[in-house]
Amino acid sequence: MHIAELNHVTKRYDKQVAVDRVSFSVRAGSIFGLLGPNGAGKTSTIRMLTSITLPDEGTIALFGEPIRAEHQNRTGYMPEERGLYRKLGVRVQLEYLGKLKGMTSDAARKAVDYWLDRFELRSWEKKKTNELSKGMQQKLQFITTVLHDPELLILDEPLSGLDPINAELINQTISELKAQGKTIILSTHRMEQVEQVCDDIVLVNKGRVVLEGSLREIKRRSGKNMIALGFEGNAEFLRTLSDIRIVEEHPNSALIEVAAGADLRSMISQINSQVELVKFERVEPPLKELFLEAVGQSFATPTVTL
Amino acid sequence: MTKKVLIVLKHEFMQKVKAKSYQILTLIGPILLALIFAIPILFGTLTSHDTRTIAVIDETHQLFAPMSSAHDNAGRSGVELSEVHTGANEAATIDSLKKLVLAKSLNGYFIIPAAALANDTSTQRDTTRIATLHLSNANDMSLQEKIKGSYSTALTTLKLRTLGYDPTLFQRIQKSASIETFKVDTKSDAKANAGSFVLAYVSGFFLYMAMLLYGMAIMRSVIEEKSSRVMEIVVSSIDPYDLLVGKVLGVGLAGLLQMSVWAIIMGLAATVGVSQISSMTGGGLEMHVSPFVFVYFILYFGFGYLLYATLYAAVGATAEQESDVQQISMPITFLIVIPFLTLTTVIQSPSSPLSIVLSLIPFFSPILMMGRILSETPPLWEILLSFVLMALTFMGVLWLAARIYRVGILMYGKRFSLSEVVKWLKYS
Repeated sequence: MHIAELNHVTKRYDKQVAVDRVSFSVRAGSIFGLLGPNGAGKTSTIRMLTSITLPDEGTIALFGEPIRAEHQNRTGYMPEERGLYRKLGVRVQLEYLGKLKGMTSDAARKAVDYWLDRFELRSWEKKKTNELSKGMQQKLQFITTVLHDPELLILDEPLSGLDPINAELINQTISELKAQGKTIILSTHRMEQVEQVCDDIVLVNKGRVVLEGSLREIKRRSGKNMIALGFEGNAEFLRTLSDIRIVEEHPNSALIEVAAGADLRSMISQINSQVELVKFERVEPPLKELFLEAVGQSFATPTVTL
Repeated sequence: MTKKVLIVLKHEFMQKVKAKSYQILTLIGPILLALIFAIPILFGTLTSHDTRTIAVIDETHQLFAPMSSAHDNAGRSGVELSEVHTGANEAATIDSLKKLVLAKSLNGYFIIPAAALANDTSTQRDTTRIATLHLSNANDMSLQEKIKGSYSTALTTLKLRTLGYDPTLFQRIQKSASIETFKVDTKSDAKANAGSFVLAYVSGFFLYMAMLLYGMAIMRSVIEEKSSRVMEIVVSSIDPYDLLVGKVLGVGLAGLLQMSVWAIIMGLAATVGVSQISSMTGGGLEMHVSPFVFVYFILYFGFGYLLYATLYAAVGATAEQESDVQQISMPITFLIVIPFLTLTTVIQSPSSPLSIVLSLIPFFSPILMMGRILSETPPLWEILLSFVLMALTFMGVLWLAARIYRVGILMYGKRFSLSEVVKWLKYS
């Protein structure tokens, strides 16, 4: 079953097309990566999913039915631009935002109890929000997203600005929510986070879908032969190799793409003659690589024609 | 009204009522208001130390002397009365007095008509028997009261004596009973009654303050939601229109509560105070307030508040910080200030065509029509028409504001301009 389905969705602002005939679906219980460079139309897409704006063309279905305002109660949204009422007390703030999501006063109070304990904010409940540290405010922000136990969570850069401890706490909570069967749409620029947690992704650029599917499938489909190298010695040898493209280069390791049908055995001996090879492993192409290629950016590392 | 409107309404109301600034203002509002009225009076007493001279033309040739002595007996300092004998050509004398007044070498002149001492055969008011006071500064209430007091004492004393009564009877009666005052009018101030004037002015002041204060509060609240970026979360939970309605109603109810507290405090103060003010100024402060007036007041407050609150909300949505909004909110603030500034003129001649037109302009109706109702009840159809016009205008304003609001609340990094707003109207 699909929790969210977009069908040829278009959104224009004035004459500018922010979202251009975008279609994708999000499987129930999955973590779905909504990726793309800045200005690709991610926020516009999210705003339509959260009923903040309406599509100009195309249709959106949530929870198996055409989207309507009541779906807002079943959705939790953490915008990239964080925002809370600065002068409201912590508890008042959370309960108010919970009730706006359709919770009863009683349910809101209990949920606030639970999450304040969980995130160790209980002793701060009477403080005003702007008296809290930045880290605590971010925990608060996350609570407003999950308080009403939404079936669909939309998280836009949930880890930005978090210290490693809080980032781990949020990551753990996300995995837990997934284990409970919640669906999560994750929009982020952190490719390593996407690789760790996402099942499926869609990559948008200039308002259009350029890549879509399960992460594994996309990597396999890319047809790229990626080799991770580990070595002792000068990395200059890389320039002597033919039929490869250097993707990443570090002091004692590198990631290279080799052309299809290249003779790997002779490559290994060629490398071995120059440095001591400690690792030669076929790996999946990193998502960052696919992202940059799809978006059509030029690479920072020097390239060798294949 | 959806359930979420009620949640916003309750939240906004509670936040407003719980705020210290609100509680303090609720308590000290009447004191502030009293100060605003007391300061001119204080200034009046301070400036009244310099002597003002009033020329008196006594056509009866009998009243000036008792008036002058009553004036001195009552200790009415600061005003000097000097009799002017007109001779054959009274008009020429008046003309030269007028010139003196305009040249500021005389503060005014007082004309006692010859008929002033005629027998009181009719209960009808006879204008040929009314003395007239012509002043360089017609707003000098204390001067008017002094002249009026001395004149009425003199006139009453003289008439009583003519009729064969003991003139001291008058003083005794005056002490034991309420006074029947004679209406002494300046020409430009034909029908003004001090009591209704004060009431109309107080109500105008309240409406003015309330619309400005609560309208601005709505605007700040919208800007706060926008600048703190919490708006995005809020509108992912509730329709912006519902948010707008809940906010406006919540703050409005808090405003209504505050006004009610003020009305009660002032009502209590008035029942104690009016009689004292009356005795201080020598009578003339009569307050006749029908319960209908309160209903009208609430209705005009409600409509005025709704009109301005929605406008201010729309303006708030176009800004990112409070500093952005100063210029944009100016035209709206003008709409509130104009009726307040014209209020005095309207109260003084409530039925003039200008007053009727001004008081029917929906943005001015709350202050001006209320002022007219309090000074001289206008025809019912005019009152009803003002409500119809306000209701229609409100629907238009709400339509416009909701659209600006819906787009504006999520728009960042764009400077406000009219063409931008027109674009927003097209989006939504």
